[in-house]
Amino acid sequence: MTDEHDVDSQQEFLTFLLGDEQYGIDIMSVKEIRGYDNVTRIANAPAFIKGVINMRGEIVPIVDLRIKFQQKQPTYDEFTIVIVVQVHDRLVGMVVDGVSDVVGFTPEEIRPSPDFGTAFDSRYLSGLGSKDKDMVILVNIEALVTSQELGLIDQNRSTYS
Amino acid sequence: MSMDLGQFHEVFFEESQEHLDALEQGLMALDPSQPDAELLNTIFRAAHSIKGSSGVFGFTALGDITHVMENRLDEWRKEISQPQASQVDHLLTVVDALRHLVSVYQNGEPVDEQWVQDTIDGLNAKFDAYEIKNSEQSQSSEPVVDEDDDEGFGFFEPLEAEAEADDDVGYGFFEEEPAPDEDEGFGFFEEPEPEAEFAAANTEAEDEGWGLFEEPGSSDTSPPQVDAVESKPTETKAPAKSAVSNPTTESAQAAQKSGGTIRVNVEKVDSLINLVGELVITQSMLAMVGQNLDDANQEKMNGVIETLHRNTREIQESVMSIRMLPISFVFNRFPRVARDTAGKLGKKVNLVIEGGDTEIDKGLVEQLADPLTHLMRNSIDHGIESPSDRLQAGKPETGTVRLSARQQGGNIIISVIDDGAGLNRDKILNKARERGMTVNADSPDEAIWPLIFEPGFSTADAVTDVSGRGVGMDVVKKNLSNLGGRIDIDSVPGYGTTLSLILPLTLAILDGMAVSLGSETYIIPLGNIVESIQPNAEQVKTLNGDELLNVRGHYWPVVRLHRVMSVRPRFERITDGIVILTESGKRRFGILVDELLGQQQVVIKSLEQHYKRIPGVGGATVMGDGQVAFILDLESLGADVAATATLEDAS
Repeated sequence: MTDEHDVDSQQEFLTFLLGDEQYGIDIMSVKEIRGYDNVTRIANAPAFIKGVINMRGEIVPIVDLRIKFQQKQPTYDEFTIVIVVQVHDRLVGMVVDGVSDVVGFTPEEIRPSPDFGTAFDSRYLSGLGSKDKDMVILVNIEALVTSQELGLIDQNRSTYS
Repeated sequence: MSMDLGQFHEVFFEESQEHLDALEQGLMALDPSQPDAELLNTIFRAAHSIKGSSGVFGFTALGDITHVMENRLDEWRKEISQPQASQVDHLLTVVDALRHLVSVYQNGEPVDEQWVQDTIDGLNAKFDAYEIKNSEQSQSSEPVVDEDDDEGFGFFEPLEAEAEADDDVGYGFFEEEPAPDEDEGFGFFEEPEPEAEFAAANTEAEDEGWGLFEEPGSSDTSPPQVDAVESKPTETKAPAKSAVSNPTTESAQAAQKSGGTIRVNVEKVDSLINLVGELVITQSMLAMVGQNLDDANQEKMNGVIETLHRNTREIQESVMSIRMLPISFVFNRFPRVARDTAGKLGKKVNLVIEGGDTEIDKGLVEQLADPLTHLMRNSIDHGIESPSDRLQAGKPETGTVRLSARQQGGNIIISVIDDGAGLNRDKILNKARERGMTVNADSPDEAIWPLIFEPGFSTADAVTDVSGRGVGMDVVKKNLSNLGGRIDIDSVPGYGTTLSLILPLTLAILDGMAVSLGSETYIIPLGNIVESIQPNAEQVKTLNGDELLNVRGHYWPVVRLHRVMSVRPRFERITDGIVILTESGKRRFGILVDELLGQQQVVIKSLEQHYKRIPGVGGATVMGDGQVAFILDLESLGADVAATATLEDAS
């Protein structure tokens, strides 16, 4: 796939689909990819927070990025995919339309992210990767998970825990 | 090199804490009038260990202070000087200073050199002051001693000791024992050289120009002196051990200590507990699958699953026990608390600790310290009377505070029992009225005592710096209920007060009642459940639109769980579902659910680790089928309930 010599300098991304757009997140932040089942609903939470699951003893919240960023009513079946990412010590599961590939980009192949035209707010993007014909919107997963918009974290949490 | 040392810092800090604990406990246990030699050795070793390892890591300030401390302790150990109560007190404050210093180093903060020097000077001053006084006293008590003779006395004697090998005074010089009139000679041994044994003594003596020593020739004088050292222990009770034997006992004990335990990061233990929890779930899922086999293997399968069940349970129990610590980890600090508090208040208190080996979850141990400290101070401040009052009341001058722990079923009961004046019923009632609370003078004691947990409630006549500000008891109660515990009060005027903390054995497991609501499952902590009923229409009353349930004369507000959790329930009407009557803090209310699923032990999982707090939910757990269920937090659920359950209702 890639030349030996630029393996060191390139960063690998897991790419996934939201609608027609292809997004990528740093492969190092991906904890696991799993199916969507056994989700326990959280009362009075926003619609895109589907609930929590038990992942080997950890209670992990599940966010449906399709609802959050596509404003549509998705369906859930045995093919629904959850990417569990880890940001610092926190785990979050993200429901997406599908996982496609792992792609490596060298710094030269990553361009600044566009200001418009994507479902994601540009605050959560770290760039636009392009290689051959592929075009991948790179997501800054830390900014996304810790954002107030998703509301996954108590904003005053740090004061007491 | 320094990079390599870095990884040992954490170990050093932990060990320093342990040594400081040992130092503190040793000092607390020390009876200044009759110092126990073994105890002095323990204290000395603790200081010595800190000094030794702080030197290795370059924590010089720590080393400097402990060095001086060690010297002073060595004087006690070698019976050069007699410990004084005030010196012990001062050493305890130095221990506090050392704790502070350790945390300064731990946080990588700069060390205040001046403060370190002040601490050292203060320590020296404390000991020197007494020594001067001591020698003055002894001088005056000596009949006629010439000043010159006095100085030379200790050095002179060894010459004669040639003849009498076991001569006490002669020995005293070499073992640095304080002959009372050894004025100058004594001061000379104050040089901060704890290891200054024979060699140092000799050279120092030479430096001072005590020619007397030289003349007979050291080869002549030495043998009897050595004899003296050896024979001394047999002569006096509780002698200081000779310097040679000390290092061996020290290392032997150290080896013994390290052989029994290993240090493990708590995170590792917790992740093990998590994994075992998963194993238990997998096991029960397997059991479910196994039930649907329909061939001859069914019986075999059942047997294997039964074995697996037993094994996983045992693994779970022993893994949980790793987190358990003896409660003495908390209790050990209280002799100091009692002593300081009593000292400040001019009271005499004897602290009795019982059941220190009762085991309790590590998480609880850490969070118990503050509430217990508060209760202890309260008992001494408000409970125990002043010595004169006690004598008047026909009690012994010294009050007794008993701190005890015991296990009862799935609970730990920790009691703080004092033999003081007891709670003053009238004072509490007056105070309550003052604060505008409606109280009934005829209420039984059990209804009156809990008033002291009201915020801002203090019946102390004077606010002291120990307690009486009225902040605290409410906090204690809140902290305890956060831990899933509660507090009971029992008090008899004139005979004392008993405060009992009732806590779950572990924070990680909870006895719960699983209830269903629509298609969802929730867990209600069993400890809060009073009873469950299926109400009939006559029991339901309406007050201002709120439905109340009349259960044997008591009115219970009802929380409709389906409204809080926005679920479509199977039963909307109170009379169709089940109402679980609960009690949490001073709130009592019923919770309307669809159905009881049964009682079970659940492993409590944190929601906040990966998400955030959910109103009405205290935590989560994983059910047998792998599904997450929420554990209800009754405190926050009941927060919206009008405080109907006031004192009149409760009585």
